[in-house]
Amino acid sequence: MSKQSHKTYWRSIEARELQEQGVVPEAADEFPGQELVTLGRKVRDHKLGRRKFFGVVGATGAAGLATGCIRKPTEHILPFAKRPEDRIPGKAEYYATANQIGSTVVGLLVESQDGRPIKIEGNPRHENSGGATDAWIQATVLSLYDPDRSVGPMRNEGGELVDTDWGAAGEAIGAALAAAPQGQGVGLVLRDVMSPTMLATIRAFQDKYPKARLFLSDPATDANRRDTAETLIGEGARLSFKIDRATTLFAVDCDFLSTDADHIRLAQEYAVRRHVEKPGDTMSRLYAIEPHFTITGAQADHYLPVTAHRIGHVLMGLARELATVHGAKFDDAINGLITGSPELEGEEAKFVKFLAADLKASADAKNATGVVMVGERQPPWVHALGVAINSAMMFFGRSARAHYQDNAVPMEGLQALAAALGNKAINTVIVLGANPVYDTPGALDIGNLLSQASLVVHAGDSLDDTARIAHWHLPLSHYLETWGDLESSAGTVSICQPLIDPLFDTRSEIEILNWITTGKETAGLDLVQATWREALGNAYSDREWRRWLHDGVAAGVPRSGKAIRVEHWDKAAELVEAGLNTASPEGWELNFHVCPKVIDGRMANNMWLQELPHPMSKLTWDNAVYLSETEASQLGVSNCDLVKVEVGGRSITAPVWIAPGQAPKTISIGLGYGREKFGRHADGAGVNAYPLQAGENPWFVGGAQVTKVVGRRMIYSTQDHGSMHPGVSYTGEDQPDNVGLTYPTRPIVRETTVDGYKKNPDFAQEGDLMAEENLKSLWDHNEGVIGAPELKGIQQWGLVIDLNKCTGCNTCTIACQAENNIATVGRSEIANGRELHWIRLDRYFSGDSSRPQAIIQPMLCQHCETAPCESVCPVNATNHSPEGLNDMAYNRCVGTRYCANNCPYKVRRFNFFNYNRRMDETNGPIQNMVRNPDVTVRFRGVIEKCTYCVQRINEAKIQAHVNGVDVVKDGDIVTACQQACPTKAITFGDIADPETKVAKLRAQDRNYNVLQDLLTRPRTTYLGRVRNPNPDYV
Amino acid sequence: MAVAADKLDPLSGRKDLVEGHPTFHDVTEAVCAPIESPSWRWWVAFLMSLSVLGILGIALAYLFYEGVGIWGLNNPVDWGYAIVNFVFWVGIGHAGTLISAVLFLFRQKWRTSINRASEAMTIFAVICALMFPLVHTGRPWLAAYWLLPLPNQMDIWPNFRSPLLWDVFAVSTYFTVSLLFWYVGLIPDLATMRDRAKTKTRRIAYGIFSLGWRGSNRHWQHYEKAYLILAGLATPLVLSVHTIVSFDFAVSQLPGWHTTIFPPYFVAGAIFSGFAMVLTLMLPLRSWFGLKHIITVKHLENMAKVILLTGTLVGYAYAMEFFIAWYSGNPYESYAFANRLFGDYWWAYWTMVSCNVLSPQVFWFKKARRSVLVLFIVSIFVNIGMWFERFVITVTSLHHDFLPSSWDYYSPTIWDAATLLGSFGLFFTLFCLFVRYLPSIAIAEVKSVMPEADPHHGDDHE
Repeated sequence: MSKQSHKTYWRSIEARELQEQGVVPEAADEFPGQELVTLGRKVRDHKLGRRKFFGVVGATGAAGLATGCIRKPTEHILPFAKRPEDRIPGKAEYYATANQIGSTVVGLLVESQDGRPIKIEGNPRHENSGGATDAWIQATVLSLYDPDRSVGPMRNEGGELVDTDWGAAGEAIGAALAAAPQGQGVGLVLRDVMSPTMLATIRAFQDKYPKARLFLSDPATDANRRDTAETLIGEGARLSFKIDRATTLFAVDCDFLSTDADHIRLAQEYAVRRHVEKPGDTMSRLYAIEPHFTITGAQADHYLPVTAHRIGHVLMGLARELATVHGAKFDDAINGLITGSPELEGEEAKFVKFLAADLKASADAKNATGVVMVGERQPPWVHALGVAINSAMMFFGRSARAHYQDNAVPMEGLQALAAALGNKAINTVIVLGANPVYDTPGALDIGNLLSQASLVVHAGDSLDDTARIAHWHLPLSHYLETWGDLESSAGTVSICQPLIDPLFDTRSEIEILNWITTGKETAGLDLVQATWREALGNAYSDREWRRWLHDGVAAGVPRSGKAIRVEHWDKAAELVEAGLNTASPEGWELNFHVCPKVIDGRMANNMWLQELPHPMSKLTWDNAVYLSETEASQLGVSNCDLVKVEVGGRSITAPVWIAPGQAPKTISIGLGYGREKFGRHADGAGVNAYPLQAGENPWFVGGAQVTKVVGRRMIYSTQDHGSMHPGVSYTGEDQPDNVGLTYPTRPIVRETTVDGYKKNPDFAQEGDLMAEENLKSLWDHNEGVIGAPELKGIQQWGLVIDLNKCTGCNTCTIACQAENNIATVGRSEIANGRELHWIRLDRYFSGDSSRPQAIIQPMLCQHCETAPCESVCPVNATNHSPEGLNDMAYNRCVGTRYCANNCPYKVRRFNFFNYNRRMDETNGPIQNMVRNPDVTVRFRGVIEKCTYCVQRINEAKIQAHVNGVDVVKDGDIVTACQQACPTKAITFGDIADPETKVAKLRAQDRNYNVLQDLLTRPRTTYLGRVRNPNPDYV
Repeated sequence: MAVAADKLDPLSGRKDLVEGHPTFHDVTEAVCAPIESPSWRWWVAFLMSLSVLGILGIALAYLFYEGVGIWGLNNPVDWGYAIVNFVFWVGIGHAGTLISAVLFLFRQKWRTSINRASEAMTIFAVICALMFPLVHTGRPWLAAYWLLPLPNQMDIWPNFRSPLLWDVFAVSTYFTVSLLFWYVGLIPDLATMRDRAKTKTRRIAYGIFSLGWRGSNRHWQHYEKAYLILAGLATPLVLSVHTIVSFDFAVSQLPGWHTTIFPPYFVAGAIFSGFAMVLTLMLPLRSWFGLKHIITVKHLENMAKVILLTGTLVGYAYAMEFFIAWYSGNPYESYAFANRLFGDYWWAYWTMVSCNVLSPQVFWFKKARRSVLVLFIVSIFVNIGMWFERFVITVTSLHHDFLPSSWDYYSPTIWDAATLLGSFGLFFTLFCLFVRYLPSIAIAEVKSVMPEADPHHGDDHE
């Protein structure tokens, strides 16, 4: 609610219009050529002039229409008992709720316009959000209006799903459960449960059916980490990280900036220690090893590609180095194993040597710590080793933390599910929210086994793979339609409140499970309130409840307070020993990754995410087999060539994409693609990699064969891949191109090291090809000439992006798309190179492709003061506002595209087709509900581009005017990209006032203009990136 | 083929402009024959052109229905075939006015036999050209009038700083003046057609457009003055139109576009391509319509010389661009030009250089200048080369500009090709109609340069 807290409200549109229009000079424009004196009197005499009259009539009419036609939620879902006085149609309202993906729970504030949730923001009070979100959560609002959502319960009749009703389904399920004594033979398959009410409901189910078994089927959650915690600490224990004080970080196959658990919070905390203001400021140092170059690897100061099989051994080497060289005290149970392990060799030894020294230094330093973060993809023994190192280095409790999830319910894994289905130990399966037919390892063959069960009930939000084999399908409500509660990994509880009544005949998981258990239909709200009434006892009050709803976080939740200690080192030693002795098989290693776009496939029908460029490869609408340049040339394949990947008798054929930084002899594939009959956007996108997964360790498997097969499948990246010449980094040497010509590098991204910054604070400006004083502006001689920029506004808007903080997580792109009604153009149009995103993340590699560095540069309209686009538009459709915005008048644009050609930053986007009509045709009217009414929907033939969220600027200005001031306070305007950014890399504000945050950032010596030499005087500037490599490690 | 010596006019000692000593009447008959009794060849040419024009109709209809997305444009390459074709056609439209106005002012009498057709060519080429800037916009139904400075209640004017707007003025002025110039020149010949007309329709149609021409002394005096004034008006336009078209590129700041050499370079290129197109049209025309004695080999040779000159000028401009790119030390600029030579579009660049710079060099040889076959082949080469020149300028500069992240490849679609092809359909359809209904050679002017026009013709004053 922070966005609203400092606002005052005007009563109605009419009142504001009159207020504004009662000004004489403005009315003077009405009668050009008349004497001002007469005019002034005339206007004063007749308060209701023609213009005012039409203003009033128009506004009243618009208000009438707005209230008349727009879908309104029924009153009872509003969290307020009465409609608040200041509720104005067309005025956004924000409600707090929370979202869960995997084990990551994020508190949210959702913007609702006229009863439609249209935009999701982070809840600043929620520790996992801090006001930020990620691309997935930003896109969930579109999934609410997914045209392929299931709309009502269905029954399988001879392989065909036919409509039915809840009553019939209830009878069938009730009969099946009644026939199962104490739930014998009943299996409940769930996604990860972070909801206290859901846990309570599950326990109620278990009370009634004690012999029923629970299975976890959720590729997006951190099951390996949890298993390790439960083994080492005890049942219900959970591990998480808190890295805001960590000065040395080691990411062990851990993409903690984009896909691993709690990545939004971790990115935020990571950015705290990457904050640099002046030369000499210290920074944290990030080491990363992983088989596939992720954005975490791109952030790392030292990146080493290591195969997934090898990663545990490198970590062992680190433990050994710490124990033998730096005197780390490991528990006796494991110490012998560590000191007795073989020494590392070559680059690994070197890497570990410096890493160990840095970790030791961080452990010893005051007010600092280090952390070893093992990623979910690694098996429990590597996690156990990570816990051991964190404990031995005294990081535990500081940067690595653990807590007990109260009332946790133990769940079995997928192997157990496959075994139980195989030996018919269970034959009645209730799947709640999960989709095990699709997203489970192919080796387990769960789809086949499940289809042989005598009763499969599936509750899901669409007719997915499991729904198609289920006997009964129950539609799930979207999380923005339901009551619920979620507890984050750190124990913060949020109440989830619905933003809108369910659009279809759907129910929430809690409601369904409660209904299955009790046979009674109880509303979600009652169930959630009952949980907390019980938990709080007398402390519960309606007032407290309302406060929780308002704040989005619950205060005063009772905690068990059970002490956390790592006790079972013997078990850790067992795990590690077994892990170390597992032979790594010959052949290719296959790595599977949670996709930074569509997660595990659950968001595959979300066209925003499908069209979102992959953070590293920039691929859209597809996944690919990523492999290194060397391996590709050995295989004789190039991008888009098909390869057959085979392991354990299972194979897929998929296109290749060369990924710099990929570990040798490994391939990586993103999960969640290759859908069939899942949805209109998901179907046909990419290749399904689940069939290749092994049962024991789903995330990587060795001994695979990769062979070239005839044919290609064209896949499309939004950025020219591998095109590195001419170079773009100013630090680099001049790079020769393919014909042997050498060009000076392009100073587009500017970076240095901590030491380099100390030696040369002006490194960012020195990238300029020519000093500003040597440049002559076209406009200098032409002051007062028509068209010369006149920046007379009181406030001058500007935006600064800190390249040091940008991780390239893509959140801003989706936030912008949601805020600004940016159309998706579809796979074929991406193939034509016509993506429409207003903010894109340019990714540049440098160095050797086997061990590269990467830098990400968000690129959006630079709002140049002397904008090259403005002078060339023949119809004056793009102009400068007095406040320095490069405005676009869509109505006036005729689409010559000259502006786009003349934009040196290439940020202008063209509607080559009527993309919005195409979307309407594909999706039907439901998708229109996601549109932001404050932003024009663009027609075919019109250029569009970043506006600095001009609708938000104007809203804040209106508020300021209503408050009787001319100046908007710093921080009152937050652009959509800025708001969503987890690392706060984007700052927007008034650059005319030297006291604002943005002005101070612009004054930093790291501040530079991209393409300064064109003297476009951009309002978007960048702070050069500072890397922090170990100075001794070359 | 041996190089034949031209016959000399016995009086002036210069080469004969009309060969075989025809009488005035013979000339009229020869020029009017294709109009009054068209051969089957005309029908073949016309129907072919008309069907290609049909392709244009389909391409444009689909374009208006779907939007410019049907073309191969993408994010960095926002201008493609449409702009290439526009500049190409405007360039072609240069020769006509040059021949009629500039050569007229310089008293180049040999122009008389080719000026009518080349002016017609100019007008049709400009019509083709004018079509493209309009249809290439995203919303042509608005562009059609928002680009014009029409007073409106919103007080919104076009942006007078935009070179695209200058284009609108430059090309439309050029079109208007060229049309007037052409029409004024036609009046005496229209009167001839009127007088020879055998049907009522023809009599009325030619009658209206000949504006009551009777060939009186007063008429001739007014006519000559008007013609001279229009020639004077048209001459600067020859230079200005392509200068302003080149501003579309030169005024922007894209590497490869932002070049001060563009105005003269474009003008030279335009004359170059215009003459090539005149040759392409004249060679079949003189042969099919039996006008070889009026459009003589000497005329062709003169045009070949102009092509050689302008082609070499264009070659110089190409070289100079590279020098400046290197000399500037600007990494974007030098990359843009290296990219032309060796980048993704190397084939377009080398096609352009071979066609425009290398192929005209055969005209150093007189034998080649006088060979109809060589002339025709080279003229086709130059047409191709000049189209590619515009393609190279437009596309290679756009596809790789400042930020490598945006780089992409442009490949045209079938609709791009259809529009280009269709524009030729429009051009040739108009040209066919022209040769069918209007005298394709300025009868009156040709007569004026024949020996008979000289009052002392036949008198022996020796």
